[in-house]
Amino acid sequence: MRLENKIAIVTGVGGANGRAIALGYAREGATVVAVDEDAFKAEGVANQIVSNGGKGQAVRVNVTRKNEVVQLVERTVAAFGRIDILVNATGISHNQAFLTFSEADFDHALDLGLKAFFLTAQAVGKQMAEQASGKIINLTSIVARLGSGEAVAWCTTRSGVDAMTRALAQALGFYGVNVNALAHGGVEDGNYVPEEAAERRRRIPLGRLGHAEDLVGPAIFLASDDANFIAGETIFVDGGYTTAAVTEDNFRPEWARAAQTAHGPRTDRYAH
Amino acid sequence: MRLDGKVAIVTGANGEFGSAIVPGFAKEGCEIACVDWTEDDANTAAAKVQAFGRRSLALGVDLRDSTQVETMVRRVVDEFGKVDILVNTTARPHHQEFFGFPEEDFDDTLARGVKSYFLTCKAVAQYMTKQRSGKIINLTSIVSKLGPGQAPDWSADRGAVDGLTRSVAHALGFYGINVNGVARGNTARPPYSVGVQERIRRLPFGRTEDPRDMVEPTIFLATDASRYITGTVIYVDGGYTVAAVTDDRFRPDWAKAGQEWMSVPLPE
Repeated sequence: MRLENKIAIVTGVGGANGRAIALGYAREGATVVAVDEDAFKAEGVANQIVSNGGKGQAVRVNVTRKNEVVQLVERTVAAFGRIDILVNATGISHNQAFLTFSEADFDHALDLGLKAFFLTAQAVGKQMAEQASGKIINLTSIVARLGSGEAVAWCTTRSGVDAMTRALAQALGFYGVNVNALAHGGVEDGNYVPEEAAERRRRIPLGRLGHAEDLVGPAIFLASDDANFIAGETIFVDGGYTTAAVTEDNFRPEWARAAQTAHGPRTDRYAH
Repeated sequence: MRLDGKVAIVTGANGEFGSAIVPGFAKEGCEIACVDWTEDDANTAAAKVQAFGRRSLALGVDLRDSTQVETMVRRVVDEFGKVDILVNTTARPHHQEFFGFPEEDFDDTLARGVKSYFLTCKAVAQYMTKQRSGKIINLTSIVSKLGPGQAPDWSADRGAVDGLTRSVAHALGFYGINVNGVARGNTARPPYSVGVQERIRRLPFGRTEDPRDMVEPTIFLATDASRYITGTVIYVDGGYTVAAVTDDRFRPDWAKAGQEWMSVPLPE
């Protein structure tokens, strides 16, 4: 087990990505503090961890409030003595038309999806600096590098996280703390219209869109000693979407041509 | 003149980069609404436009307030009949050590930076979409690509501006509006600190940036010459963000370590 005896805080476990990473860390032996603003969701994840035979604890925290974040750190250190890993997985897109984009939604997206990362990195970073070790992993998205018209707040916060990760890596690197990011996007449950899903699949030669599970391996890697010399980096776990120039049909294998990819993921040909 | 008859709104008009861009635009024939946080700053900028014989409007605006921003844009359209160009240049980083970095300072950076850009973009878009034309140029920084440890707020904010720029480009592209960014570099002046001297080894031109270096790239993005460019950021940084430092053995004599080369004079 690659994270044995490690203490990990994962925020936003109520979301699919936070949940998958929390469960994955626990499978690798870490003690997981499962954080969400919704106590019911946090408990659901912690219970799942325990019933899988792992070590998990649920904590209800509003990560946009500094005092709650500081308390989370104090309680975690009181209970477990240290914090080895922090995963920030909160965020909300509030996707809507730009011309009438609600200011309140924009503010909320920035609070939950950018400022919260600053608050947790600062509070946990202090503890990790004292330990002279730690790994911070910020979840961002393909929209950290790409833009779509309905995702004004999402692009703004994810790009902010991408850039802030680099600054945090510098600020905390002096103290032996690694700060990196994982970018996810084009997920199967992304609520796309069929044309959009098909178009996205055409840019992902692996023949399917993403799953939360895809993040687990990379998140374990960045939390482990294998990633000790990686800092300020964003790893794109996107099946190649962000770097795709779409391959023409006559250069694609038959099963990956337009008429086929429209119908859905090729689960028969590609393993998850 | 490349901006003859055009109407621009420049925010932070009397700030470090606004001070260069405003006269640069006026020289090209642009009429400019000079917007800054105080009336005094707005007036100072507007006087530079008048010096070129162009119409201007000075507006002190709290750009964190959507109502004030909407009123500002309406006043510009009332006065000039349209708005062709928006240049956002406001920024207020609070450089300091990370562990003690106050939450209020982080909030302030985002409010005066990316949030104000969101509000101005949205407000001018109401008019530019009806015109089916417009150019939006957001000043960003190398810290959106590179992160200094004392600037978690500044990196978060400028990175967010890059993301906002890409998204708004896609939201407004349908209406024939171009949205791009220009990234600034370091503008320290001699005598240089140790940190800046190290930087300059990465800048083969041997000098830091002058805000005037930003004028031509911004004009380019404001004209038809850039009509097929959108959602991108032009780095006006002397090569800093893409530098792998050249070894002394491969540098001309004047650019080797310890030389006075790093006091290359600024262009006129």
